[in-house]
Amino acid sequence: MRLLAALAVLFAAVSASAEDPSPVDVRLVASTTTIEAGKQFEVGVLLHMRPGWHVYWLNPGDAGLPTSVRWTMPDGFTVGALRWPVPQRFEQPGGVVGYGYLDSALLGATVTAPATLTGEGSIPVRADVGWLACEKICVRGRKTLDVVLGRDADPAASAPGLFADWAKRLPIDPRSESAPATLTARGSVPADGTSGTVTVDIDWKQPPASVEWFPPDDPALDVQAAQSHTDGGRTRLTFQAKRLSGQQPKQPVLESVVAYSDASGVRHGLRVPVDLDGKET
Amino acid sequence: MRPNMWAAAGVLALATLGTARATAVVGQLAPAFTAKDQDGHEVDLAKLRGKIVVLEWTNPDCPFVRRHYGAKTMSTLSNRFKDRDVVWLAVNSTSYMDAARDRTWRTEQGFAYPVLDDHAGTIGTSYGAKTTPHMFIIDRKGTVVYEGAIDDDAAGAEKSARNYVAEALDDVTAGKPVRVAETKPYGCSVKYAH
Repeated sequence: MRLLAALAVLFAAVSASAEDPSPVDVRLVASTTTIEAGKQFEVGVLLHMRPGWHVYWLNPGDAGLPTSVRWTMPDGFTVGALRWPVPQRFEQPGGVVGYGYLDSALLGATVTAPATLTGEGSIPVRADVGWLACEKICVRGRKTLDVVLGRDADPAASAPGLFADWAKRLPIDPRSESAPATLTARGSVPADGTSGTVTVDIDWKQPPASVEWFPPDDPALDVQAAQSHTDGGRTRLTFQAKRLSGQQPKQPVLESVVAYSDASGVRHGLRVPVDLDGKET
Repeated sequence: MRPNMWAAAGVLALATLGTARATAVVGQLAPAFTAKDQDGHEVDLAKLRGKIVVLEWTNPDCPFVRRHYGAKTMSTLSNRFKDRDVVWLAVNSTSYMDAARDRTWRTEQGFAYPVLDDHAGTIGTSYGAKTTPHMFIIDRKGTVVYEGAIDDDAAGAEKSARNYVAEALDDVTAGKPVRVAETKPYGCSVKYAH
């Protein structure tokens, strides 16, 4: 009987093709392990994919599933929205477009510590991470990660350099002083379900070497004919969209990102918010 | 525009991003097709005129499909409507699979509707099938009346999801217009050949 049991275990291990070691490793990191009352610091999940595998962006494209991170912090600590580095575009057979990350991605968020730190000073942080990883096939993954910051912190959790590196890959807000361009938007997507055209003009301070648009999307919208046309110092983005019957977009303002390369070939991102109601953003 | 003007402009980035939605368009006639099922029997969409047809793009290797098959989403729904003139057809456009694979999967999962072998991707392409699952409903006149997701819960996180196909079938079988005719489909990308 023991031999049969051993063989069963062996067969299970050998035939576990769908249960191969995950193509994604995840690690929970922080910009500092020293926590001060009332101050801000960053936490992040670093995803590392095996060659050829990708995970998905906030808007996964035609197929896929956005990577998700759910934070659990002690009372009094507040976590901001997840920040997504500029994605890459995958053109899959059949014209199925995906947006996401190859190799690695750091998904971070800003944490604000409470005005008074109570307790012994150990700050447990948990991240529940979920993803869809695809190469030739797709595999879903989930992991719960725990670190301790503050007193008795996990030394491996501290990665300030990582946050500094990845900060360069975050889309820049067009209203910030370091913004590489100004935006002018026109058009709206009518609430009555008829089709509308939205145009966003990006006027660059320095004409970029290349431009790639990651258009906005929402399950409640039918977005079509998303086009990006660059002529020297101006990129014009246009798309048509209509609201699908019986559904409401999650937000009136959709996120989109323009990835651009500068003269030295370094890739950056510009946040391009799109207001469906045609208001200035 | 003269070619050298484009060059002088620096960046030519006229890119049409994100393909047009399904070429099977709600309100228009569904593209015709014939295909062989897992047992080699021919299925001709034209011969199903007069019935309500559900097309379910599927892929046994896709986690979204496996989750639904584990929950018997599709077979429960197809059984519920089979006596109301609804014909359920799964379509497998996965390029590396074949009828034998479809047969094995169908036997393992124990569902009754056929799986059409579309590993050449012809039907998938003509419908603009992007994901697995991707659902289409065709009415008795051959018009597409629903296209999109099976339900509103891509992540499978909700205890009960709103099943758009069930609602659409309720509407069509009652002779009513479909309340929600188009949704964004979710799932793995259809694995067409390169």
